[in-house]
Amino acid sequence: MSFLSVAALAVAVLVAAPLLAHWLHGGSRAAVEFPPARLVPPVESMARRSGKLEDRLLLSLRALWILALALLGATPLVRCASVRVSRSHGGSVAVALVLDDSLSMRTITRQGESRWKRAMAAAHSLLASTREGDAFAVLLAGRPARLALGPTTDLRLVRRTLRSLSPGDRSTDLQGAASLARSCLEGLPQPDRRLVWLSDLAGEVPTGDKLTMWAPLAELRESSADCGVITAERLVGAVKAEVVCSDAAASQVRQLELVVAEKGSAVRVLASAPLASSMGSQTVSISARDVPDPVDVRLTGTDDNPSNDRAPVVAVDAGWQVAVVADPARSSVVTGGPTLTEQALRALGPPITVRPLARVPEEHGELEPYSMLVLDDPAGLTPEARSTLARWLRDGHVALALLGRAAESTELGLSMEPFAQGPLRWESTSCQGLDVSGLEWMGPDAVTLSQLDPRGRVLLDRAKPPGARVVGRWDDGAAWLLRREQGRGVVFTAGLPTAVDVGDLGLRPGFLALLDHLLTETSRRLGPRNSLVGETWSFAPELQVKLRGPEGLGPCCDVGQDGYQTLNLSLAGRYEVTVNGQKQTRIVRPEATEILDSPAELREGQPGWLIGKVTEPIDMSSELVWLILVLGGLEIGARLLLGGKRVAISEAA
Amino acid sequence: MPNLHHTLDWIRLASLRLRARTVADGVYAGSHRSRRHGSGVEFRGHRAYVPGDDLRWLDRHALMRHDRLLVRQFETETERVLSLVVDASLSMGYRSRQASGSKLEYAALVAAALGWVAASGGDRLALDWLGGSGAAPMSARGGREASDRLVGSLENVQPAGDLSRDGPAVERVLTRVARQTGRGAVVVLLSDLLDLPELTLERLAALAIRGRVVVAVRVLDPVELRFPFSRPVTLQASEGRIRVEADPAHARAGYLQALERVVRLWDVQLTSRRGRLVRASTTDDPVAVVQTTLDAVAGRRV
Repeated sequence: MSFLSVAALAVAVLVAAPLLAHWLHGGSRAAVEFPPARLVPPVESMARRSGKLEDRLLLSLRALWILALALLGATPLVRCASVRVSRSHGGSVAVALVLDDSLSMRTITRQGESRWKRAMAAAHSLLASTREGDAFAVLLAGRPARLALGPTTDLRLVRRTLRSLSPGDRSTDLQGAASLARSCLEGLPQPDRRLVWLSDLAGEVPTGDKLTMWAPLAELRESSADCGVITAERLVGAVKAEVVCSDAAASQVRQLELVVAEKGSAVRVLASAPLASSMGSQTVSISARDVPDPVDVRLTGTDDNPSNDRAPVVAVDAGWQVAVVADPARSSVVTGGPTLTEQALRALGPPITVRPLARVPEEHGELEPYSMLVLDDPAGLTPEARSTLARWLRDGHVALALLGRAAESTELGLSMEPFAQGPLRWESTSCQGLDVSGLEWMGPDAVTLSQLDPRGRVLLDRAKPPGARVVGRWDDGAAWLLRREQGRGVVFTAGLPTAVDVGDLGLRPGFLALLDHLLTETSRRLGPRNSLVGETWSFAPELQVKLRGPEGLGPCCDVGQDGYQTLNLSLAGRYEVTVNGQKQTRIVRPEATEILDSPAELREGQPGWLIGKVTEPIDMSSELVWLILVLGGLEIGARLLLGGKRVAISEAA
Repeated sequence: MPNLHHTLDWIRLASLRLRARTVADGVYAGSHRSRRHGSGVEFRGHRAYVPGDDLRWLDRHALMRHDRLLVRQFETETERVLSLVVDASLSMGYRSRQASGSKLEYAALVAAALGWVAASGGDRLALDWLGGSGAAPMSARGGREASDRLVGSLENVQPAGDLSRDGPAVERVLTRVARQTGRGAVVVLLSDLLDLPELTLERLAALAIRGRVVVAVRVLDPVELRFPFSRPVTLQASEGRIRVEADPAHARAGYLQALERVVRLWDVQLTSRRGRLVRASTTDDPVAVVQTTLDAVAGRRV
């Protein structure tokens, strides 16, 4: 017999016994028929009538608080399926709560509220079931996975943190979130640890390990039908957009409209084109001329996630256009084709577009489309070219000059400013390569530069321009690579070109690493014109940066240890970045996989996973204690009050 | 109401008729006297002598001539209507172990005897009920048939009804009695006087205004008269939802006083209108009660 059964029996006895006694007592006085009963003195009869009522009231109170006592002894007895922390051993638990703030969590569920809202409600419910001593950490699974709050036992802080969170347009990074969560839980004193996923798990689902993962909300993983606009570009006579649909049903009878905002929330439709009824990615072209700026595209109709149905239209994405000035005769390989520098840049992949130039442009506007400039074994720059280059660099661009033999024979009137100053000498060398110990900033591929087999080099130690510093050296200590800040931009000067007849620089992976680093520098200075949600924008420490996004003026920025200002945006849309007074429009777009990926199907019994809500007994002992105290007080009050009434009746009689 | 012919024990059955007759015979003489006699009264005829007749009116010539005892009748010997109103409500069905019959049975017995007396005296009988089921009222009629019908009606009634909540019914009955009885009629109410609506006494006393004689016979059970309870008891009234827990040690005196107050009220109200109240118990000799009632009708002190 369980404790509950014993408790129920005890309650039955304690409650039934007084009732039985009452009835027996009442029964011993069976009524006797007596027609003139109304003539019997009323004093005792009134007392008996009121006494019956009082007795019943007091009996009821007594029965209720005896019942409450029995329930208190038998608690916890109420079981409820909910999102609550279950305690296998009754001790404290450590919970890593992973909240998915990605785009797919803005999908509306069948219950009419967004997945995010459901997840937040469950998070608060989970938090409400914690006790003193439990530790909580909050992580966000939108890319990049982030730690919103480190493990803490301050549950009020956890609540405040939860209230400050909001969903965005990020893609999903479940693996990153799982890794962060595991590292959070390591080393905590609580023996019982949980990793709770409040996510639709639309991505690569982490596998369970020693740490059990719990996905309590099945409704977050329901399928949905959504179409979203990923990008929209303005071309000549048309606007071309990429639209992605998770289900063919979501694309049926829908159109893509070209709209321009008017006063208030009104919009004017300029043109439209129908969507194809299909699942997956499709390109929609809207014919339109003289399209104003700014202009957006939007989908008609509705689907399960309206937040991604509109996107800004941008000019053709210049992406990263890198200009390369190199002599094909010197910088190409025997087999032909583009120069090594061009090949290396193309190997870095999109969004880089390589444009070979015959010479450094002498008109400022000619350099404007380019983000970076690489000069491979230049012969010198004209004053006009230098002026154009200086102005271009001040705007935040990056230039690399790989000096070679041509630098030694610079013509009169030409110079290598701003890369180097004074006469330059090409000399033979016995070095094998570079001192890679100082090239960690290039990454692991820098080690390949230790074997360059140079047949000569340009000495830079005596050609350093003012403000330049050595950031790479030959293995004999001579300067190989200089860096010089030029306004918002930066110039790099290397003392070896890519020509294979003078060295292996162009053939080494380290050369790609160098170019990649320079592109990063460029990105930091200029920022991407078109980037994915969740990518970090970086600005040099000295820059004054202001930001206006889809939700108006926004804060900027976080400052890293290196002093650079960084920004990680969570919403897609059009942003206006003002850097030192110069405005630049940037577009942040969502990732197509965030719409195409379906929520994971977790099966009951899946290794490492606990699925669904937990049926837990609810401890109501504190509530019952209060109830007993209230009932006891009521009985005492009733006795005092009704006892006074009886005295009054007796006195009246 | 038990069938007076078959259900009651034979003594009561025989007694009812016999006793009624006996009662009737016992009190026949002098049931009512004409107040008018002397010159100016016209001779109407003879009738057979019955014991108790005034010997002044014995016709000696008829005796000598026909060897028969005959009494001279004068037109001043008027007919009366005896209107009996019997309370057959639930409280009248009460019977304790100390009584041989319920209050209603006793009242029916007395009513039947009174009816017999009246019929024997040539008076007309009428019967009405307060409450009761199977109770058929009888309009005023004379002769032996009236008496038989009266007994039949008394035998068929069962106690029923809660008069405490049915004032209009009582009023209807008394109004009917008032309409059907004229000057000189005798209205006899047989009841325990418990649970009657307040208007009953007033309406009944008002019947006496127009020369009617109103007598109320209060019938109670011995238990009701003495309140013989010795231990705390729960008492349930027959009419009205009254349930009382009483400690007899403290309640007896108060109860008896309350009972006396009710009786006195009735007595005063009736007496002031030249009516009378007769107190009876179901253990009293019915003959004596009928005699007392007739005395009350005659105006003698009871």
